[in-house]
Amino acid sequence: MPETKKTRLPVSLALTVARILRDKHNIDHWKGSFDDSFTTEELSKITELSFDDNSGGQGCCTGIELLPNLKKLSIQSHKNTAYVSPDDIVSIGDKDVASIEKCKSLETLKIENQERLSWLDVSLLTNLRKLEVVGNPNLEQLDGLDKVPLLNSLTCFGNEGLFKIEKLDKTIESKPHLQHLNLDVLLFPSAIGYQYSGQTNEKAIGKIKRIASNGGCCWTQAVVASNKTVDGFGTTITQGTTYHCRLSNPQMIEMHNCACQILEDNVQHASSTLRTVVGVENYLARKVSYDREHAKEKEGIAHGDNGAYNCLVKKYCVCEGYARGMQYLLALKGIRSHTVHCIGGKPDEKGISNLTTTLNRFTLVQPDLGRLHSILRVDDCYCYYCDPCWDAGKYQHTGAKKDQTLPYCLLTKSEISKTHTLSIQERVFNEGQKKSRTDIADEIRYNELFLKTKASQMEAQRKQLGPQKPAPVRGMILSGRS
Amino acid sequence: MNQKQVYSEVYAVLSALNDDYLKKTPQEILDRINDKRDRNYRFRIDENIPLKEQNLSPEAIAMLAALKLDYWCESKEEKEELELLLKANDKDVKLSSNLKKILFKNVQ
Repeated sequence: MPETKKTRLPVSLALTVARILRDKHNIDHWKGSFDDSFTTEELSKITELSFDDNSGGQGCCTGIELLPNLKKLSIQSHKNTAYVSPDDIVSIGDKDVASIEKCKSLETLKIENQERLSWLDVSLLTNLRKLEVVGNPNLEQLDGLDKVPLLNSLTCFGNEGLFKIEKLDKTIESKPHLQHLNLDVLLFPSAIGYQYSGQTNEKAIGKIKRIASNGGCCWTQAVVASNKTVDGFGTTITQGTTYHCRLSNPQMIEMHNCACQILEDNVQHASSTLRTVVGVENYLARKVSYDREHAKEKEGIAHGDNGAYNCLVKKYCVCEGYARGMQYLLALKGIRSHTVHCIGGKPDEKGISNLTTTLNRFTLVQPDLGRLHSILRVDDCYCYYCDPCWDAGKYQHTGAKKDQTLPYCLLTKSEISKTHTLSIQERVFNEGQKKSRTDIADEIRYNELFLKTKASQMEAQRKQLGPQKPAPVRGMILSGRS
Repeated sequence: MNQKQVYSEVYAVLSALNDDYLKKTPQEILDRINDKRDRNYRFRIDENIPLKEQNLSPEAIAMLAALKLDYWCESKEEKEELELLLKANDKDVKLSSNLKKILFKNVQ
């Protein structure tokens, strides 16, 4: 009798597979010592895998490509990681992603709230029908969507670092089976092929409208609001809870058109990054008012006050709405930024504890400290921080506190920290990290990168790039120092 | 280092730069870099340390120099400065401190 070929799985995955085989198929791998080798037939029985806060983490998906019949994979974490120590964060890592990308049988893939996910390339997942990528704060690249022929449903929002998706408009336009779209508001420009010259992809817009007319399209912004609960030690804690602020397709188009008009009226063409940021924040300070009525009754979330739509269309919102609105306006100018959760007030003031010393799994602040606050960090501009909400408050104040100089615009981390307590992630763990993209660019701009490069090497690589093409005529200038 | 890996490294650097650089680069060139890169070779840019300390291959740096010369320079002077540097490196000429100051305005 021929010997059956067996495949050895990485231990973490082997344990998961063995449990499923035992529970669902009555196949025991724990007879005597644990057997981490499986026959092809056994591996074929695994069609679905799910990892969460208890079963997930780095390495949980390594080797997953060895499961030939895996159709559905779900990886989820439910913790708000803005206030959690990195050691306590459950998340898949780069090795897991490399395995997932090779899992060609997958039809449904869901990845939610994975702190260490920074890139995902789905180009080899040719059977993929449903993709859900939600709330992964450090995801910066999602590639290969255009190579997935059967894509039927795409959900992608709340990924703070995902500023755009390459060829998203072409993907939407060319996928005959695509019937469901739930995308981040910030991805709308990518979805319609928006270019900085103002051009758009009309075919993609038409396709989106057709999907929307069948009820299959919405645009989402994941917003965070304060929520008080009591932890296991009887302490009242304030933590961020994520809500989803949804827009219909007509609302999204309305908001986009408003944003374009605002930029047209308030930011000169070819302005530098700094001037664009100041122009946008100045507009918000003048024209958008704080929705005190709903904020007081804590109903702002229900009225969409935390989203960009209220800020740009209705012209009233709360702090996060200002930040989200500003983020969208900057995105249309190609400027990356992200919202930062914080608390209005200095550490050790009004009872706000020093977060570095009280850090544990849950505790954020001591009791009765009021509301969470949101500001913006402009990643493309030396990582400066802006608080458009407080600037609007100062600008529109009718009393002695009136200040129209935008005192909270383009502040460094130490400057903003004098008046704001940044989230633990932003204040402690990101300290010194995330070099500004402008700084990276400066190494090229000032030739520091080319100290040892020879002309002959450059010429050889120039040939590899092919004949020189005319540069795009967009009248853009390099960002950075104005 | 094969050429596909060079494209991968350049792709990684482009992804880490702000969009102004992409806007200045013709779409055909960006598509070429994207299409030709080795998708199994993941070069990650660590945003904590300078680019020049990240073990980018000389070929990738040379391709970035070509991109800068052809598409990113803002002025004729900037282009001439880079050409001067590359030619000096070709001949192994030792740059005077004054010339260094001119070439590397950011270096104190």
